[in-house]
Amino acid sequence: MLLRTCTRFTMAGAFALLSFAALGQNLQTMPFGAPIGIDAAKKMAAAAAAEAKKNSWPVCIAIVDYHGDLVYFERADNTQLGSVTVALDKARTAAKFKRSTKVFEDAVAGGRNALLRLGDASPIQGGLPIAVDGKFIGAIGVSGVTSQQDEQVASAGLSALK
Amino acid sequence: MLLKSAAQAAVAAMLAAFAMGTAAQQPNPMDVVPDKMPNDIPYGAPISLDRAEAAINAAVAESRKRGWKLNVAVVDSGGNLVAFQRMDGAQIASIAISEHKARASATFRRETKAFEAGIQGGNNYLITLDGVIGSRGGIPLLEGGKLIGAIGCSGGTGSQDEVVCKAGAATVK
Repeated sequence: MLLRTCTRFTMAGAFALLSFAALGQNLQTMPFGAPIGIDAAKKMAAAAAAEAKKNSWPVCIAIVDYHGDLVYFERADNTQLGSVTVALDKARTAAKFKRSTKVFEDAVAGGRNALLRLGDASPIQGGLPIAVDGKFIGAIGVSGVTSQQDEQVASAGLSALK
Repeated sequence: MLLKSAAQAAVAAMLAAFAMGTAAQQPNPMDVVPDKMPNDIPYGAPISLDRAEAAINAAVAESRKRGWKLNVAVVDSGGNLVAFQRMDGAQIASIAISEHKARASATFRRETKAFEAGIQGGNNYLITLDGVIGSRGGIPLLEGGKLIGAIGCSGGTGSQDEVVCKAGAATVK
């Protein structure tokens, strides 16, 4: 039972990885749009928070525009305080580098330690870029549980904009 | 030679300043020792996300009603960010300022207006204290006499920020 759940998670992770890898490639040439506004940010945060609550995961959710400037933030009750800055860092990294922070995490895990010297980049999974109608508008960062779970919450936020 | 005369001049200047200081004999208000602690507000449990969001929503509603565009932040009793909203069109610099106001208000257990007034009144030493912000628009949130957090607003004039901030703070009693 536990094994099956784990497998399901792994598969979901693999699919997520594939789609984000593809997204990451497109994003590098994607034009910037109008920065994400408060309405869209709140809609995303509500969906992300619902996913977190469903799993009883206490997390911080940060949504920034493509400049990396904060638009919306919320910290669920009893979330570890260290996650306030981690969620912000993940969101900013995804915004400023136009890619999922998992790209950095995987690269560092693969031995590309030079990435740790990049200023202002969090190499921890859980930060995802936000693109709507072919325009890059911002990013969402989640922190509080494991980085895979963080990304699952962030991903639920993204799906609210589709 | 030149160095020696410069040193002599400096010593003379110091002595003159000292003489003037003693001659004036002004009482220093900083020497007063009050009996009681100032702002002796106990810290309570940290504000919940629901209440923080209720405060922000009330502040944003007040801001929208007036056609203003502000950033609103709520921190807990330790000054840690709980919730934040930037209204569309609010100035970017005020993201950090709104959080700073909230944090300063929580950690100093007073409205940031107190710093503004103090600095305006000539107490410039306030600027040297860690984490101070000399601008109104940061208000502690008290529940049953205990500090559970603080709200900070920024984007307009200090007076506009404060009006919006008060609307948010009023949701916590």
